[in-house]
Amino acid sequence: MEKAVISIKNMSFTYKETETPAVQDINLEIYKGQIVLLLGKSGCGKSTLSLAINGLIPHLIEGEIRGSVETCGINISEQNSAEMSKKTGFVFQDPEVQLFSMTVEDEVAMSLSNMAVPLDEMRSQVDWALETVGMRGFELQDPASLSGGEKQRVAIASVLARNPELLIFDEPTGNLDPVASRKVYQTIKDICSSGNHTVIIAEKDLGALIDFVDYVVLLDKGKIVSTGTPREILQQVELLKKCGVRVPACVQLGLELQAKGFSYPKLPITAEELVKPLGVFKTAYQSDKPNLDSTAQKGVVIEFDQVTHQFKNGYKGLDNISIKINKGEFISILGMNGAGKSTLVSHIIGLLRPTKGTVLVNNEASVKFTVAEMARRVGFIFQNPNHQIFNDTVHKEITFGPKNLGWAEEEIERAAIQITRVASLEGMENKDPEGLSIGEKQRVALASILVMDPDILILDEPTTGQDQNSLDDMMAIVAELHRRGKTIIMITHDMDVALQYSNRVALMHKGKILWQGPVQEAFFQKQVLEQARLNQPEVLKIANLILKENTFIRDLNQLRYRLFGEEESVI
Amino acid sequence: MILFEVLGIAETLVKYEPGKGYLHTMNPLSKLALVISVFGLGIFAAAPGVPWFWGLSLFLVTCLITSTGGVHLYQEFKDRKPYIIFIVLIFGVMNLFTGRGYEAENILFHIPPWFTVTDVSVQFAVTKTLFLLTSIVVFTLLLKSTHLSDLTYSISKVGMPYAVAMITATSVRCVPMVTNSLKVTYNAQRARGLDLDKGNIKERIKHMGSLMAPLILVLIKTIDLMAIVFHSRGLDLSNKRRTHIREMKLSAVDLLTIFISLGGLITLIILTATGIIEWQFAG
Repeated sequence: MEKAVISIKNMSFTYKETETPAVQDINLEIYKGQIVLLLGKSGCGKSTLSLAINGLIPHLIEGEIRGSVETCGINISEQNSAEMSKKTGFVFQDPEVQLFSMTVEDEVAMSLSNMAVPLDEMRSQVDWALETVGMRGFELQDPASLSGGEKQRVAIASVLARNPELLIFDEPTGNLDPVASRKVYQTIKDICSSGNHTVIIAEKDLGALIDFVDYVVLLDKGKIVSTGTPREILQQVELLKKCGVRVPACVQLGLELQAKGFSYPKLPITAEELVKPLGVFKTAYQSDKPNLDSTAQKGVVIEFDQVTHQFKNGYKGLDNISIKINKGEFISILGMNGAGKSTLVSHIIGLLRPTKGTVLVNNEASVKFTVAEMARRVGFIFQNPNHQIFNDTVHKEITFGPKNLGWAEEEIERAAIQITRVASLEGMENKDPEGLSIGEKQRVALASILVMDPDILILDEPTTGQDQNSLDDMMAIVAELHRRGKTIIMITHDMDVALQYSNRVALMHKGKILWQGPVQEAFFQKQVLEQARLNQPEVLKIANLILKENTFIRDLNQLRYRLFGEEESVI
Repeated sequence: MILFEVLGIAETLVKYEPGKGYLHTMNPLSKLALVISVFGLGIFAAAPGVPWFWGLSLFLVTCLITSTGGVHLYQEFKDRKPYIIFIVLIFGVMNLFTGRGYEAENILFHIPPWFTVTDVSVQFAVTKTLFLLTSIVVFTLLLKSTHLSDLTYSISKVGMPYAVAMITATSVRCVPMVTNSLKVTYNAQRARGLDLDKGNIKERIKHMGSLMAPLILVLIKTIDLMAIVFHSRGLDLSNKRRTHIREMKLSAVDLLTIFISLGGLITLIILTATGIIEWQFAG
């Protein structure tokens, strides 16, 4: 029988200064050449397990380990991390913190240098690794000047260069747009095609990885709750939902169609597989259920008039942008990494000032006000809540903004109580935000802005780092605020979230707005989407294959209604 | 915010710029010898009693080497000229008052009870400021024309513990990281109504706490993660065997530079220590 590359027996690990084990009772075997996905929401134990497999736990990260972990024939407790690094490579989520060198080739050569690989061999290994990840020609560039996707590919090359038997990726595409993410996964798959490498990927979402992985390990609360092929795991819809993992729309719908008597040779995991046996789908529910819940009111609240922003290095972050945003609109700004989305919204609150043109907020030029003054009208939720949170209790964090604005004590307390309820933070008021999960921190950051009651709310990538349950909670709050008349501006890479919640969309590319208009039309602009390197949302793709072309639906519930006349799932 | 400008200047100083000048082709060790030599001579030139034109000459020679060697300082700093002038002026004025304790023949300016400017304090301020400028230029010469990894590898090869070389190089690399984290935190706090752009000095200092607390937390987390990444890349500071992606040979020019730089400095130290050269105040 083939010997396992990784063999874990009854393993548990408790971090120092915590009482609950991060992972417990783990039994797992992984074989050579496999691409294995450790799947689960934030805090489920997938990163801890990855670090233990790599030997960084227990050698570098302190805590109590029980049971045994054998990686590439080495018991991790008996070898230090430097020795383990000869056999394994670890790629972290954030490329910024794993690139230290001033040139790409120095970065890739770092681990070879530590292993004292001779110069000639080092050069050929560096060239091979860069070739494999498609980064030849970038050798002398500063890693800091690369895009997010390029940085992550350099990070992969830097572990690949020493040709380790085992490669571990901890949420490698967490900060990337869908196209860059797919490129990274394709690179991982290409590396594995030789059969010499075993790959472990830790991720929150299975959707983008269905085609890439051989085996899935589903984790929840530190325990393995299921294992199997992607199709086997996807059959367990209820379990996935309980574990906070998003179930792809075509899988959900495929299972429902199976329950209604449609026959599939295997569980459909792509839109094409889903619609194949259906032929021309006959449905009695062609009439549109109202889905144009436009709450936009009269009156422009934000206006960009021929705005250009040129950075000090000469790069144009915005290039002659003109756009008007109406009161009560929910607009999503979409585009790949570096398209200019964050640069655009930074002008609204005054974090950046236009090089040319004007930005008006409530008919007043934003340049007339300081950022703090604009914060009374515009709430800005940053991508990483850790950059905003610093008080030692949730309550202090929420009341920080109103105190800055000089509100009366009574008014602050009244607003804080109300917002704590809106953000579902009741009972957490006296907790230290540092100990909260990423989803809870995001809600604290949201509450600390909402408490100032701004009319306009900007969300910068609210989906990043969030599992499905946290995201649903957060977006439910945002949707409610929108219903109450707030103007919402959201930057996101998540096309499904944009489709589900917004009523207008702006598609950006290289500092320009390629297209702007109602969400009902946005995702049918095939050429523009292609140019902006964006994908059509999955649920819309299915609807357009099953039903007539250019059918607009917002989410799976609406699609289900169009197909079966019911919104609730039958399974 | 002036803090960003200071960090921006520091970032510009330490960032390697590719080039084809002679400084880029020299071995890091010979450039390091040049830096040590200029720095040492700068200390002599800034000592009390040394005529200011020695400091000026050293500064001009350093600028000449830098600009002819392919490091274009003016291009790099032309956008930040007002801040550099401001920093230099502040430094100069500070030294103008701290230099008043020396014996002086002429009091040039006096505001009772503390502010006294003498001919000696002017001399002190000028020489110290020239020393600051020379040090900035010579370190820039080294860092802008040398890959940090080349420098780390070279100095560890001549006996400096690799841990020290590595920490030095990583600290330099951290400058942009700190700047970025500070910018994000600064913006995030302003977006919550914290007015860091207005108010008196007392209020601004009070607000710095709200800026520094999340910044320090983020930096601690980042540094923790960096340590983990280093170890996952096989970093073992006790390991003495290490190779490098570029060949680091010493050419005849490098050897000559090392000989002249360090030879000159050592000679000067010996002559001073033995009393053959005695520095006199030229006042």
